[in-house]
Amino acid sequence: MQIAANTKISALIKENPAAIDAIASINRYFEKLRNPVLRKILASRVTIADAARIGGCDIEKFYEKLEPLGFIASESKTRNTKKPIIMQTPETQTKTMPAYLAQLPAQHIVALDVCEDIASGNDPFLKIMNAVDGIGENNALLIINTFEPTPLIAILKKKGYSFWTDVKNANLVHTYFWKDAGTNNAPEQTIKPETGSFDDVLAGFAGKVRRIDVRAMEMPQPMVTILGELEILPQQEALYVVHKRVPQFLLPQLEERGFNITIKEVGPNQVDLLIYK
Amino acid sequence: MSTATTSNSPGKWVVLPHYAFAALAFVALSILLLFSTDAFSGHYFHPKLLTLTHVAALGWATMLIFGALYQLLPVVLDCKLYSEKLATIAFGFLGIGTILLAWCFWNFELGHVMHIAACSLVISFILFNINVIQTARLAPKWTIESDFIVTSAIWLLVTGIVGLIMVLNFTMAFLPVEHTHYLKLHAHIGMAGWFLLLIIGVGSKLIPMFLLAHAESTKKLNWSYNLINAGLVFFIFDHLFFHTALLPVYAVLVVAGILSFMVFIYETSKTRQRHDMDLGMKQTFVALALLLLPIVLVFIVSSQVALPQQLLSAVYLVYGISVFLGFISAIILGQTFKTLPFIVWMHAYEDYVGRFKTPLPKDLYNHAIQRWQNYSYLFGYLLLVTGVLLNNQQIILAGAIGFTITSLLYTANVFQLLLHKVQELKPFSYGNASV
Repeated sequence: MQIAANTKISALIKENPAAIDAIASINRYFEKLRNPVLRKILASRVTIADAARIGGCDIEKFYEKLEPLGFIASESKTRNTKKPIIMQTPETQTKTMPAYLAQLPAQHIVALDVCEDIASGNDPFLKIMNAVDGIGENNALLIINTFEPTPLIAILKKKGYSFWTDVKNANLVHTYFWKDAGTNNAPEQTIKPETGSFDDVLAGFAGKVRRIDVRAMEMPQPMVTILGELEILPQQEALYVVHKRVPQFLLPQLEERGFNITIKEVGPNQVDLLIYK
Repeated sequence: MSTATTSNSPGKWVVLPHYAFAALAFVALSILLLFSTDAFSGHYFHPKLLTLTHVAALGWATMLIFGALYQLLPVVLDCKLYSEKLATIAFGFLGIGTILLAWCFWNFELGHVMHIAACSLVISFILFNINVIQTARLAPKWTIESDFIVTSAIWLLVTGIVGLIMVLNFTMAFLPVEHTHYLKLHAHIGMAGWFLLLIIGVGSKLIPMFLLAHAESTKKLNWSYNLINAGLVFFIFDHLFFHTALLPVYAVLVVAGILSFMVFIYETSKTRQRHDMDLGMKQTFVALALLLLPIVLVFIVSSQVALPQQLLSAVYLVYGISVFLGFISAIILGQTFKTLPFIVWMHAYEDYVGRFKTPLPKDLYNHAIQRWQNYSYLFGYLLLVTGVLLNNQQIILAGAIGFTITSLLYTANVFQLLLHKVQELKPFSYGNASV
């Protein structure tokens, strides 16, 4: 299997369960992966790049450990024109609290401790999302966790939240989220599918395409099916969807999850979509 | 959960209050109906009947259409709604205007409060028009459905302005002909111009979509659009200036337009991939069948048929009932459960789809309640029409009870949807990463 920085950990484990031990042996931090509960929560939401950063090691380390298992690292992904979400790197991580947080009175910081959930095997994702909905304009949310919640940061950044992580120790990370009043007036943009390049992109995947036809499905089954397929789509493959129309509600979801889409109008009642990372 | 910023979909606080208000207006309407059984034995110009008509047309039907349209317009036109703020302000004016107008008609107080009510409604229609027309201007492609929707919004404003003029005429009496003459104009522009055009425009898009069918061609819709508008324009000019006996001819044009739409739906539904119909779609087709009654009656009310006065009055009443409590109410009762569950589901679950096992829109409300709502509606409607034709207050009361049961069942389901809370979701487990 080809792997790259944006390969999900879950894809590795699915391909070869031995990957768990290989990654766990990188350093003490990844021992957590042996815990099936944490693995369940993190593996499907974290890429190799995220994991390397959380664990404070190099991506190369991962390749080293994974290559003996038959994974092939390919770092030359020129096809992908979309820039990945740029995360803080340990070098640029600020140790000082941002001014906004520093001036915020303590009662405006809503704390949510999810260590308990993580330890007992409950996925805190929903709980956190509900808390985020409740913080409003003038408050910040503090997530107390055993690791930096990288997948969460990606989702909330998309929604216009600023964040700051404060690593207390290897097993305690404070992450703050708040709505930045100064930066949320960026023009809203709808995802712009590139239409002309459909066939080029398709050719680029050279047959590594999973095809589904959602025309005979009732709303919202097409969206449910497509997003479900994308969760388990192997790295380096694309999803080819035969649809009745351009799915308005799907586009923002694709963007949020970091997928690209190209669209080909086949006829008045058929559009073909190609979705890929 | 807030919608993603890139979505064309408006916020839920724009759309959902309309559904809540409309459901409560429907309950109010059926309760007023319980207390109006004495109003159906004479002329249609009766304070209680005017109240019922306006609560039905504005608080129930127009309110719900506004809300649904803010959600559907971006889907039909493929662009964002021009202004959510305008929509919210229009909601306020429509709500206040409807409540004040209903109160004034019920107590037959034709003074300043009614002026305020009428102005409030016209302001709401102006804001709605600005929103619809500006949204349509943003649309990348223009379709016949857009024609229907934009034209219907303009007719709504015309209906409102005629209504406002009539309200002023109550106190100033400046119009040349008697009042009911303009009431006919006001009612028909509202029925054919606003409700009919809008329902056809939205229905021609949604009904095929829900049946998983596709239109081979929209030529029949073009005919439908041209015929209905031509009939309506001829009727207005004739009614205002010429007073000929050609009214049935204009009725033929409008009816031909309706039939053209029906044929379009029939032909389209032949391509459908779904053969089982859910309760919402069944109710929608019941509504289309109920359209036959006003189609027949329009010829009686537009021609000078010599009927006994008592029967003619009853036919006028049944004509109005068959439009507002028949066709329009029936289609709302059906289409609410094809649109609202999806809207609620979208806002609640869009971020979790694919990551968690989410419920589906049809799991968010009670189907048994919906089934009984459909039965009690049909029962109530048939009893009401029979009661009016036979001039029997007991049967009218039985019909009103049927409507009351319907409205309570409907409202129970609508509020169950509106108050839906995201449930505990179970994440999918992938491959060997499962526990």
